[in-house]
Amino acid sequence: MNSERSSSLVDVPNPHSDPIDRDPWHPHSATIRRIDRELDTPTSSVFTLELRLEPSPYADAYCFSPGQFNMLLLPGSGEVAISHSGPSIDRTSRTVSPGTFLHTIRAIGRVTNALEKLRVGDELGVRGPYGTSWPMQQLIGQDVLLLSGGLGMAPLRPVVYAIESRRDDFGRVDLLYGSRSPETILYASELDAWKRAGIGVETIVDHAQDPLVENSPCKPTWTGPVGNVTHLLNRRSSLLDYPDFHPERTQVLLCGPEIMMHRCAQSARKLGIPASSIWLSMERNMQCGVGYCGHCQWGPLFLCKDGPVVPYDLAETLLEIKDL
Amino acid sequence: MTAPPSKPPSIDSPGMLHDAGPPYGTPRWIAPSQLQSLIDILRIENYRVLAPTLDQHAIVYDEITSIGQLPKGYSDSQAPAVYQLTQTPSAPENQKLFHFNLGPHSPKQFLFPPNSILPGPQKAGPQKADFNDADSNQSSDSSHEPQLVQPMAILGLRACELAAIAIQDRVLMSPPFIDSQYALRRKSLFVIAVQCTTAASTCFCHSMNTGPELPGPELPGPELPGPDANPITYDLALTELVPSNHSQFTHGFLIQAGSRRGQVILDQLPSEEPTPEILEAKKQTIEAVHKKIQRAMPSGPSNIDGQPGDLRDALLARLNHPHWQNVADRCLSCANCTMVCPTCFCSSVDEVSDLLNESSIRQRHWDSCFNPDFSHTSGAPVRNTVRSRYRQWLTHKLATWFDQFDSSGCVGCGRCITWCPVGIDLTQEVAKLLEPSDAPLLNVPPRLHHR
Repeated sequence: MNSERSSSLVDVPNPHSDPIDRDPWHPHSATIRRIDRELDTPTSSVFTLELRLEPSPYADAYCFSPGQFNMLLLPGSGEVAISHSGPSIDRTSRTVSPGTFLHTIRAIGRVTNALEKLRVGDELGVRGPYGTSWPMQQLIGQDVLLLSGGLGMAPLRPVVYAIESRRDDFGRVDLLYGSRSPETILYASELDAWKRAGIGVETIVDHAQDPLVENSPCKPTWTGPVGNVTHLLNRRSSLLDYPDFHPERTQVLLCGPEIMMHRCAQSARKLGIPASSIWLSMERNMQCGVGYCGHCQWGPLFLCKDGPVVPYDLAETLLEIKDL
Repeated sequence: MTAPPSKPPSIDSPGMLHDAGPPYGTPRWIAPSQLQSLIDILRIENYRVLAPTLDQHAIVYDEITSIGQLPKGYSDSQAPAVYQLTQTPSAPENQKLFHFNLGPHSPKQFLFPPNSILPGPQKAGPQKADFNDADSNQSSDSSHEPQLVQPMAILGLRACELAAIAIQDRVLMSPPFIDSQYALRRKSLFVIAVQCTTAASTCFCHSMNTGPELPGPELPGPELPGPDANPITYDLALTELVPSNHSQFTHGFLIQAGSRRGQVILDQLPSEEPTPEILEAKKQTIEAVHKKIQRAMPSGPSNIDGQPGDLRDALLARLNHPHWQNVADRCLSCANCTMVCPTCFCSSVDEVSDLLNESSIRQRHWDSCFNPDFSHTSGAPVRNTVRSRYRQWLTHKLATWFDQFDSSGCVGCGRCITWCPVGIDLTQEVAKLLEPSDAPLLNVPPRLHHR
């Protein structure tokens, strides 16, 4: 880590150059255009909102980079930080609709439960985009390993989309995706399309059958591997199975529970991948998004503006300190 | 003296601070009664004048209209966990209006109020929400807060408090993001600083390089970021002096402008040129305050050249020091230190709606890293022990603040020592943390430079 690195931390496109948006507290109106139910198990309710900003100078200037997040405000319920899970792509013309984007949300708290009750046409407030992004420029010409755990797939999906749209610019690309059970694999219907686009997709589950669902009538039909995502990564140590694994030219993008990212980063280092080529998306209870409220501090970092995407050479020492 | 102008010029006209003009800052001498004229002029100019007052056995800032409300003849005795209001026994000190030290209040109370309402829609629920443009929201929001409408003048701010304002400016007014409510209050603030003429046992501003001497016009305050930030200095500075045995002068104030608008007001007050004796008395008073300050923040351990080391690096290398547990065994995690700290800025936002959920506001209130649920991930607290929360507070204040804002987060005011119910003294805790221990020193990440 050096000063060049630290400056690259804050080197993200800034949509807040317009003075009207320099007070970050002002929300901007967005309308729900579509709602997709992603997961509907008794223990996991996940949905994707397609939002379109109301026409304004802010909407015109709005652009996000994969890895960044928005604050979503539902008056009366509150505000919550949700990462971008993709631009909205017109399915016939295959073009990106401006001012329109996707947020995949798990209904788990007061605000997200209220968001789940919204319908198409409802309005909510948006502030953002905030935070650092995945190092998209640095991925070009490199092999890419995307490691995701659970809902951590959501912030990585824009990366998959970006790679998909210009597949030839990247070397070998693999997604290693761990989930609690087969029923909780997010974006399961898209995985085949990603494979066809030349992205290696390997999934692994903690349990062939969701242990949180009592007396599930379903018999396990999962034939894939059982374990955690580190196992999929560690397989790369076998030259026999992975003769074209080149750690020195591999970039690793990690998103999932902190413990999973920590273990995967350690495994990636053992495989010979440099710390500066490993990236983590860290999570805390962000409230302001701009370093005012202090909640998301992690050592010297405000994870809302110096993160959520943090390079491992910076995160390594911080991850070692308990309760930091 | 200068005759008052027939028509008082506007003291709020933008650009007044930066106008080229005759040099200001020449010290003048005024009688105590002229402070009343000063308050009157500010009130005519629509300022809400805040100053030290007596309330519940402490000296706190509140709105005043008369110098009779100042705590004349009062002082205080402070020590870890002790704040005792006292009456100054004998003349001439008992004539003084500012012969006391810092109370629990700081300018943070007014620039960054404990409770405020954030901009945004005030109707609840989907569809009904009315997300107006930023500008149209401004007027409706300000109705909730007089501070956003009426400019403030604070009389009595000390050197360390000016430094604290400069630090909060960096937190809330550093581009690209400007907290518009803070900026509005901050930019209309008229500062009448008061030179400390005494010191509490808890003061250690000297070792934090923030006092006790007020910066002069020739000694500008800390450099501030961005074209939109006001340089923090004062508009007017007062030094209260009382005669000693053989003095030729009587009780009065040296007054000096630090801004053009300050000079405009000063020119309206009857004043005299200070005698050499008065200027010498000021010098001696400040020297006496220096001598009175006994506490000091330790610097990092000496390096090979015998120079003091960097406290940031020293603390970050000792995150596993056993003394953190020693502090934790005494600390009540009550958050008093963060409430009285003039630079602590952590806050939370609550959505507050009426019973029918038809209207709602976003209310920001001070929060503290000492609250267990302050930081969490996936519903679980990040810092579940007092040890980790005290460590977060202290290392943020004295170490990682440098990474974030290029300065220390501590101005040496000593409030956290006085108002800690169990008398934890951060200067002593730092000294203990710098002592050798069995815990190996950690690798310290190089300092980040965000700004």
